[in-house]
Amino acid sequence: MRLKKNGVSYIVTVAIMTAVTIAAGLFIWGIVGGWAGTSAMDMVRETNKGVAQQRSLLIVEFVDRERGIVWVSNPGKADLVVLSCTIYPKSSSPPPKTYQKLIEVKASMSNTYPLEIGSQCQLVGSGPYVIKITAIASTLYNDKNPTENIQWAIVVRQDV
Amino acid sequence: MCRKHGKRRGISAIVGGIIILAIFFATIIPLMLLMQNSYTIFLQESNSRRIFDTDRASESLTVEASQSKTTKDLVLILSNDGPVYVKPVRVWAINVAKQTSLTGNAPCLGVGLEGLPPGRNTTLNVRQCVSGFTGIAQFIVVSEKGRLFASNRVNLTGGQLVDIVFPYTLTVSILNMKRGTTYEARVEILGEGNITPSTFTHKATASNENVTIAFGAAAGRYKISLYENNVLAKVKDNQVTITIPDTSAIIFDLGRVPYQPVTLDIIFDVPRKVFAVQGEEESFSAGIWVQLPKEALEPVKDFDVDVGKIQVTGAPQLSKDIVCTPFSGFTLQPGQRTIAALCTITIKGPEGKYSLAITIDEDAIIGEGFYSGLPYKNDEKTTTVDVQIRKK
Repeated sequence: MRLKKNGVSYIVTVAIMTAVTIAAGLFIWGIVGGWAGTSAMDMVRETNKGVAQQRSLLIVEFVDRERGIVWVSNPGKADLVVLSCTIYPKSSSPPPKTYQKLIEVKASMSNTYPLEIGSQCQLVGSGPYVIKITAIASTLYNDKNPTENIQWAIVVRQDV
Repeated sequence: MCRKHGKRRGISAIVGGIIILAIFFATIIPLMLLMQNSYTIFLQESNSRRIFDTDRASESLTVEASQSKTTKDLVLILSNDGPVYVKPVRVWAINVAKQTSLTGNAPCLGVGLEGLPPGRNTTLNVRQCVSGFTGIAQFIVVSEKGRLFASNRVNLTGGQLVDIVFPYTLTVSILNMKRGTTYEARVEILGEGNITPSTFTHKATASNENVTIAFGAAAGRYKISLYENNVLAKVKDNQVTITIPDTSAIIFDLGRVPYQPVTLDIIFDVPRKVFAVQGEEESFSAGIWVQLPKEALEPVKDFDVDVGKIQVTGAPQLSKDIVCTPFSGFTLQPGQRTIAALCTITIKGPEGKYSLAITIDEDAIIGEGFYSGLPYKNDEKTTTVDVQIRKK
């Protein structure tokens, strides 16, 4: 009798409330899902960068002074892109350098790769020298912006 | 009726709860699992790298360049004296002097190298890498984990090991030495290098003596010092640092002036005038002193006085007698004087005034240069004494 008095169906009321609840729930689910997905992707990307850096290793095998060649190889697990190479006096600070793709060094010790002194490897001052090479995993290298992930690069510094 | 009513009123709450749970299980839990998984992957990779670095640091390989006893070929003896397996992947042959590869733009060996378990040795024939090469060669073995192991340096002639141990000769010349002084040339190795002998001692037996010493040396940096009676000699460029083979000769010029003997000065210590009585003998003393001029460059020792060359002449009317006592064996410093002979002259004669000449002949006093051993002599010199003889 009371329902009839108010003029509102109980079933309709329940249906409306349920629909509102479902809509709100789905909305929240979407928001949370989107945030979770974005966070997961960022996290995976960062983890991949850290893993790529852990897998990066470069060595200078030999500096051929007469022919002007620096022989490098990659005993690590990630292919590398050499971004800079500088040979400078041991007693001085390193000269300013620019980052660009010089060579790609595959992750295999079956090959050794040459860096030409002068064109690819900058030589300044007089000896005794040290050589400083910056390399980054090829998965992290962006050809359009070589410095994008430079914080994940590795630096090799050794006496010549 | 009321019970039925209450049940129906909780439908939205149930649906909302289901959605919350669905969000939790479908979104939050997978995200947490993914985070955990990512962290685990990073840790695994980090551990893997740490293990790799530890293994890499544990690699130890001794590389010795030697000669095969049977074939006489140059070989590398690789000995794994570390606790982990070592896999050589490349061998570089290097011209040490020019720091260049002996095999062009390629390593000496790059394929077919066998791995070495701990304690295992192997021999690699590197004859083809040094074929015809003359100079100092060194080999670098690269391991699969990226370690570099260098061999000893070897001196090659035409690709063969040189029999002589030292390929270079360092000569050290010491000029104008001081007689009687002990000189020692010391060669100190700075970093890598080898030299024999490392010291050479010489006592100068003559003044201004020169000596040249030859040291057998390998390429490297050395410091050469000259000591004079165990004290660092005051000579230009002492304790010089050189690099062999760039420099192979050192001269230490002690800069001493060649000794030249000077003439000894003779000084007579005699009375100007002597009085005597006619018919009676009168004696007087005459001291003969010798002085080494201050211009002399060295002391003079072992003086010898020949009194037979001291004479008294003049006044034939007088009888004259001279008796001298020599003082030999003394040493004079430049500018110093001492008595060389003390003579007693006895005269007798008629009344009158006379003049006597006391003469010391050339080379009557001879000394020996302290350092040079050269003879120092006197020139002839005469002095006069007036004699007056009165009546009795």
